[in-house]
Amino acid sequence: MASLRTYVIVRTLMTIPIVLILLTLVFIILRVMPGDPITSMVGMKAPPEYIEMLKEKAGLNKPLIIQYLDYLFGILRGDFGRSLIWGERPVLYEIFDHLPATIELTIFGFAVSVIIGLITGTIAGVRSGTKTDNALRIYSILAYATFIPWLGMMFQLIFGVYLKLLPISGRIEPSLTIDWKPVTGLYVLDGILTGRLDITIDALKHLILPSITLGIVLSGAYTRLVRANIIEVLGQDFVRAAKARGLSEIKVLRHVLKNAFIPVLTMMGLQFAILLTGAVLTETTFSWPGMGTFLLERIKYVDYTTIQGTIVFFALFVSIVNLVVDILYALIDPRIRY
Amino acid sequence: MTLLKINNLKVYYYTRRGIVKAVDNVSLAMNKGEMVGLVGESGSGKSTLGLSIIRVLPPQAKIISGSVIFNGTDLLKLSEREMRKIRGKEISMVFQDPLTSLDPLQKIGDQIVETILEHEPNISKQEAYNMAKKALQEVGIPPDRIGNYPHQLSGGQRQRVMIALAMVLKPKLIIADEPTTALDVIVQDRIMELLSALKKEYGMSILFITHDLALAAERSDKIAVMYAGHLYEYGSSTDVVNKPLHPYTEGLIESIPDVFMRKEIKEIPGQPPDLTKPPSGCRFHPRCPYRMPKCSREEPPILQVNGRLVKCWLYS
Repeated sequence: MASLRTYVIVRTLMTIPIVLILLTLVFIILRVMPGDPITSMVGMKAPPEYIEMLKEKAGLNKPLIIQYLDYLFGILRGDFGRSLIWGERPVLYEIFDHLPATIELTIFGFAVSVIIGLITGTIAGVRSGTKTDNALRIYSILAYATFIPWLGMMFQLIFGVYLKLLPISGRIEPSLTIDWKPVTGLYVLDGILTGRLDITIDALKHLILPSITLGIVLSGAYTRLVRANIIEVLGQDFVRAAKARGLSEIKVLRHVLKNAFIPVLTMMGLQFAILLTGAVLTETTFSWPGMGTFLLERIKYVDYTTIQGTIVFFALFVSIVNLVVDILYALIDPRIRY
Repeated sequence: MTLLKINNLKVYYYTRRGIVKAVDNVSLAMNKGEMVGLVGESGSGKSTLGLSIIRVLPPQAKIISGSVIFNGTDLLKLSEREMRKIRGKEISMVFQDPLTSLDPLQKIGDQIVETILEHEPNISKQEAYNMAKKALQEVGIPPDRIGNYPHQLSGGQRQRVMIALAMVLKPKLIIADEPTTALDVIVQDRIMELLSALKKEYGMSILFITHDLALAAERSDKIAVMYAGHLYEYGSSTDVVNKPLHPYTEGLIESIPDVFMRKEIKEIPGQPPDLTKPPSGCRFHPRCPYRMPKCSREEPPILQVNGRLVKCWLYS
């Protein structure tokens, strides 16, 4: 397994230049964007001295190279800047305030999409050319093309308004959280940790509609990808060879699934990372207080430092997820090693 | 003693271009401990015949009629579940391309162990592992490579692994479908040597499917010649090679190149027919130098001539 260790080390080291390039790009893009953040924040009519003062405070009057180094070392220390409008709160705190809600929604929505996608894709792939396959292909296109707010509102209407089974917005019933302090910010988990199962159950109830909405829409792409991969692998010689050895259908299918799963893993990793930056449409439809709602609000108020800090945070995050996906790859596929 | 008897087998492919009669009314018998070389050009139906025996045909292929009697049971009448017990245990198969016939994500040892445990649930994992090691050793792979993945082995080694997989449960019949085609000549010779040794050691029968008549003649006891879905000649290797009866066999022998250029290579004129609309009568008649008017009208019967089977009007 020494070769696997080498792979992990080299792949990790390779992340450093990637992250450096990412950080530099974010820095350059925000500097070459037309207009400066301070003016757009306070408006053209503000007195110039006031603008100068704010610029100095934000460090925007220093030479570019110094700003760049400040920015890099700040990130190294975990300083992602401070909000321009929200009482100079560190951006990191703001992110951590909203991230748990998004993580919760992501995990559940992602799980729904992967489960639906893997099952429908496998069935469609194995039964390719049949009516089942055609039906599932139509499902995948419909799911992929569905507008999230529409689907969300339909669910809200049916399960919330008519059947009155599930809550239609927010992530918790506010009256439950009086005198209660979350531990991780993930309410489902915190309810268990603090022995408040009523909170866990209520949080789960709030999660059902948004995660199913998100999950269904995302599942369409998985159905297609899994189906295409299964069909490709089924045509490969080793599948026939496995059958010719007398392996049962389930065992043959296991060989097929493992081989067909590799390209799906890439998409899962990337999608998971993207989802964590906020499923904006789902979050706004269900008034979910996550990253999507948060970023949208800050863009409206032109809170540049917060936006920059958030972009950097997620750039780092996506790089790390990519690293993890590549390492998982190497674990599954022995050919990807040094 | 007859081990395998194929009677009037018909296998058709249902394609967009029409029905391809890949195997059309073929009968063939094989004895225990015998190596039969099944020779023919690409598209002659020889691989389809091999795949039909253990019923791992592609989905568009259908077995229309006939029987495949193996050790007294008709394999075509067995349920899928019963058939699975035969595959890999009683009859196993070695495929043409060793590079793609092993699961790239699984260690070779695990693939052998998986096969053993599928058929022998009472064997412990450790025992199965030892059996796999022994099988690898027998085919000439150092047993310590049991933990290797397919991509860590060469083409020839991978074909040896395929053979180890095929022989580990000591089947009565191995169907080797062009097992050496993807390999270079020296490796090819060693693989054939290995198959011959297994045949001798365990009394296995081998159906050796190849397009290479010279190679088949060198190693097999009997040779069967297929053309355009029909079996045209079947007899002992020496007879078939020294005195071919069928004009097609004759053409095949004349087209074998000789390194020392002692003889002229003669090719068979024309192309094999499109099997969606095969020629009337004898399917070889458009290319046959001895063609008679009757040949295009009526399909020749299979005749017994000097202890050999031949399907040609010349001998009636």
